Amino acid sequence: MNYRAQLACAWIGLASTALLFVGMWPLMHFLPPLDPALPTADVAAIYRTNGTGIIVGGLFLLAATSALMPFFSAVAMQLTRMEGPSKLWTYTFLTSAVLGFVPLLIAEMLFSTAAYRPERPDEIIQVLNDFGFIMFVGPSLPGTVQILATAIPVLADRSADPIFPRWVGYANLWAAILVTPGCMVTVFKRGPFAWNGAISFWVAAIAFGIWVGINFWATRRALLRQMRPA
Amino acid sequence: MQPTLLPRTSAGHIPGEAGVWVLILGDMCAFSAFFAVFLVHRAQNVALFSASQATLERRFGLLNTALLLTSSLFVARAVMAARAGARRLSARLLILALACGGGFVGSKAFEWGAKIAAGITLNTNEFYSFYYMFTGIHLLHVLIGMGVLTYLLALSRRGDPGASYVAAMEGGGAFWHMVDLIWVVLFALFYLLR
Repeated sequence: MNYRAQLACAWIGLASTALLFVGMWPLMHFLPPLDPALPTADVAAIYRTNGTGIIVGGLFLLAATSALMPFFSAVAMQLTRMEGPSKLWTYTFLTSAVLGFVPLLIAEMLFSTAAYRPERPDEIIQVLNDFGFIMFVGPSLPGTVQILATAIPVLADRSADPIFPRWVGYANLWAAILVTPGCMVTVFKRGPFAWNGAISFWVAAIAFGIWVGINFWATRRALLRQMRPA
Repeated sequence: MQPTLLPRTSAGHIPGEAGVWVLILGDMCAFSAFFAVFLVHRAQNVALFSASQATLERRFGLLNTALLLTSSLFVARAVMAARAGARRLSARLLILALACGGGFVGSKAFEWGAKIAAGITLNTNEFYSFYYMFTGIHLLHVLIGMGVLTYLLALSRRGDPGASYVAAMEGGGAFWHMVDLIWVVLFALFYLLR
């Protein structure tokens, strides 16, 4: 088996999460995310002054989201070991991973489009910005499904020496609950459930970070055990 | 309730399997953060929050609290019965707990329905945003908890529930108590806090 390649893919997951952070924070200046209640002219001014940062940061997001896929595959390899002949939750995990991260890619393209022609009227830049952030934070439900599809095989693994420790399954359930409220962003322009809100953005982002960390740790641990000479 | 009815399997017994507490304590941390966010926003606009709070029906809040506390009592008795090997009794108590949970969901639908009919929705003001969102997230927990109780009910009725039966009852029961506990804090924050 290609255990070393799987291990490398697991590490790539950790690296891409860091890349996501670098793109969002020092380059795009989107941490914290722009306030949805910001006046139209202010939104446009941000794209006009930090256009290059937004476009280059967008490339980081593009790289990060793309590089998350091998990581998810490495996790899926472990899920499929837990599942045995049925691949139900592995398929659910992988398909929701794609469904969940395509919007992130589109969000990146929308931010870049807004910065691409800064001479456009303010309102148009604002539309692209709105669309970008709604795409970025709003489609949280595929993430919920993906995380549940991690939790279920972990908790269903009833062997004496489970592949992932059982607490990892429960931690996944916890993360699944916390990423969910992101889907409410279209309802609010301010407060904790807006796209820059304490709950829909910060709690969800931190839960996602912890989720990647825990599943990286569990996947690496399982792989090291597989690599150990029997 | 006599404490002697609760036999302990060892001096350091963790109810349920240890892992379930990652979920329960993690969820309680998250809700604590939610409550902190609520209190910070409330402190910035006490007048609005108090005025809006006055429009909530405390009777509904009290009824909800009574339903969940009662359901928790049934769940606790069901766990005790499971430990004593009385699975038929466990099953009956779980049905009663589920009925209380169903009553909670029903009364919530009624309460929200009345508010929506009065034109009060998610964006009416900041207080109601919190009210709908937090009680909504809690309601989601109630529904998940009812799913867990249904699973425990099915387990109790099974011919051979397996070696982990009592641990499953304890873990699921602990989750239900958490849902109950969070409601008690929500009730205090939204209906009573002055």
